Amino acid sequence: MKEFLKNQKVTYNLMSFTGYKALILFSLLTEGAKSYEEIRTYFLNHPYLQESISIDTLRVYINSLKRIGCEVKRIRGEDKISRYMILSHPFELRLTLEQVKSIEKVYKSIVKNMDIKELLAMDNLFEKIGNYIKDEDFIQNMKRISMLKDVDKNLLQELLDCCEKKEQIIISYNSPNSGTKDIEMISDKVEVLNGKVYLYGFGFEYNQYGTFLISRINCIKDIKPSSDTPHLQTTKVVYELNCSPEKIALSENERVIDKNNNKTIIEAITSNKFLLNQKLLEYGPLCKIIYPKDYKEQFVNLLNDMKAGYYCD
Amino acid sequence: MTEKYNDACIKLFEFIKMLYQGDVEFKDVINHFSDGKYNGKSNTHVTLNKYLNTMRIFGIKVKKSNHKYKMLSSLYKLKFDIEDLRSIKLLKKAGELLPDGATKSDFENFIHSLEIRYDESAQNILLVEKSLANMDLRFANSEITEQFKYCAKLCNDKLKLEIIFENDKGEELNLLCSPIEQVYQKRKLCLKVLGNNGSRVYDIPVDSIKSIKQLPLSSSNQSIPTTVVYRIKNRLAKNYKLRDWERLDKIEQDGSHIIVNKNEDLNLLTNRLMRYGTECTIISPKFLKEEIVQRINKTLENYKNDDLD
Repeated sequence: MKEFLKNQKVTYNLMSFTGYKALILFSLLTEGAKSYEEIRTYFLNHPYLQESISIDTLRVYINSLKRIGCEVKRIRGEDKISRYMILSHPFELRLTLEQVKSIEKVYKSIVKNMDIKELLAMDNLFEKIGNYIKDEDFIQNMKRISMLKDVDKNLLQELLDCCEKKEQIIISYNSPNSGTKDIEMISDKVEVLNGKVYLYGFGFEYNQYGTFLISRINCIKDIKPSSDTPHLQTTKVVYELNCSPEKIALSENERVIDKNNNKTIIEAITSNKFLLNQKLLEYGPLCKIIYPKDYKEQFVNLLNDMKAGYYCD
Repeated sequence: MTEKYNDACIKLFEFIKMLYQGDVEFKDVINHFSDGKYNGKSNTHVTLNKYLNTMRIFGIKVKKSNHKYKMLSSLYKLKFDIEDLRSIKLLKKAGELLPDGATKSDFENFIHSLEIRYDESAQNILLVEKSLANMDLRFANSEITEQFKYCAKLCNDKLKLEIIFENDKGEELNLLCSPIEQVYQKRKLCLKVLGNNGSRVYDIPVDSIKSIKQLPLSSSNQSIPTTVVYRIKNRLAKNYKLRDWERLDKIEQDGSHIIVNKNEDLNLLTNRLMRYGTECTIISPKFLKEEIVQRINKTLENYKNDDLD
């Protein structure tokens, strides 16, 4: 072997030529269909082999490949020439049902801790594996776990690219209320929230920060050359949280302005009161809005409306 | 008529098949090439060396250590790029947290079956891409690994637990329960348990647990999960995505949807349903309906002394 590494010359004492030819033939026939002439020429020109192969010997090799579990097929093309190809073989990736279940279990254990880019990469990996094992169900099952089932991956990738550059874009959006419409916005980020994938950004229509379900976005219609941050109508909201500080998850638009034992005063600058409402409603009695008065009133009205919903049944 | 075949080819490919299954003992390899007739004097080891050289010259990397042959690069390779390798690494790290047993073994076999098929490009990436070694495996740091293993042990022991944990308000609660499994909620490791009466599921964040005591009582597997039925309407109904543990019961004439939810932690569920505001109302069970009304009332109480129009 040392001699080979030095001068790249093979001898009958060094290796099994029969075995080597079988490996070469396996490799050729898994790449695609090859005629006897193509195989013969390949062997003849191969730097280590440099010898022809008879059709009878080729048949013996093909029989040997079949015997170890390869499915070899002979096809006749339009040029009337017979070609051989390996359709399946024992070295392909195969997964048992138990292995698939174990993958699902592991994936479920981490899926909620993955960001959107990791989810996308994982989805691509499972798609690749699914194609290798020729199992579309495997791909679909994994998609279902990752929340990307209804998401166009190409579109998602485009949106991620836009968010990276904070591009000003126009999207075609299938709104549940007003049907398909164009929305102009400055793309900010893509995130998974409560099992759904959202695009976040500053919308020009209402001049506020908004979220858009990616499964409802048809396409990006335009990417504008420059993006000047629009003048947003923002509201400063101050609220008090009555819980242990380590349980507080601040958003990017929030900051702590005071802290006293279990009471934390937080200032939020928002252009979308709907999103803030959702957050403060989830806190329930732990949260009290301090400022401004009109937002506080709206919030109390909302709570009263929620309560009324339970008494009008 | 029997078809002619080449015994040397068969022996070589069968050896490769053995290597695909995992490390192969030297004695098994020598037995394979001598048809079980190796007596220490025959020249089977010379034959074996020729086959090993054949494989190496073809590009299959085989290494021998501790009397075992290991295939490092295989006959049939699959293409994986850097993103794939990152994902495989994430899965591999997560798989290490599985408790020992059949599932872990099945998963390790899956990872092995991928690694053994890496093409040259993937192998080169692994050699040079340092970022793969420094990935942010936030769910797999050593502290969480220990917590995960401890929770897995509690679930495997199948004994009832007395857990003291801190709720969102910072109050300490004492709960008698049966462990079910460990889950992640909002990037936190939680222990999913079944309350003592078997009807309420809790996902308790591990970092809010103050103490856990195993009781000398077998845990209950008789769960009577609470079914929650709620109505969603308007924009929420049009956009709502059912969870795995939910089903759409019916669509009302006004377009609202009736959802049936089973086995979700009721605290997490009510948190979520509160977010939906007026677009969601709980229909049953009665106690949860009362619980959410009480929650709304308590929130309103925060403002009772405020001067509001």
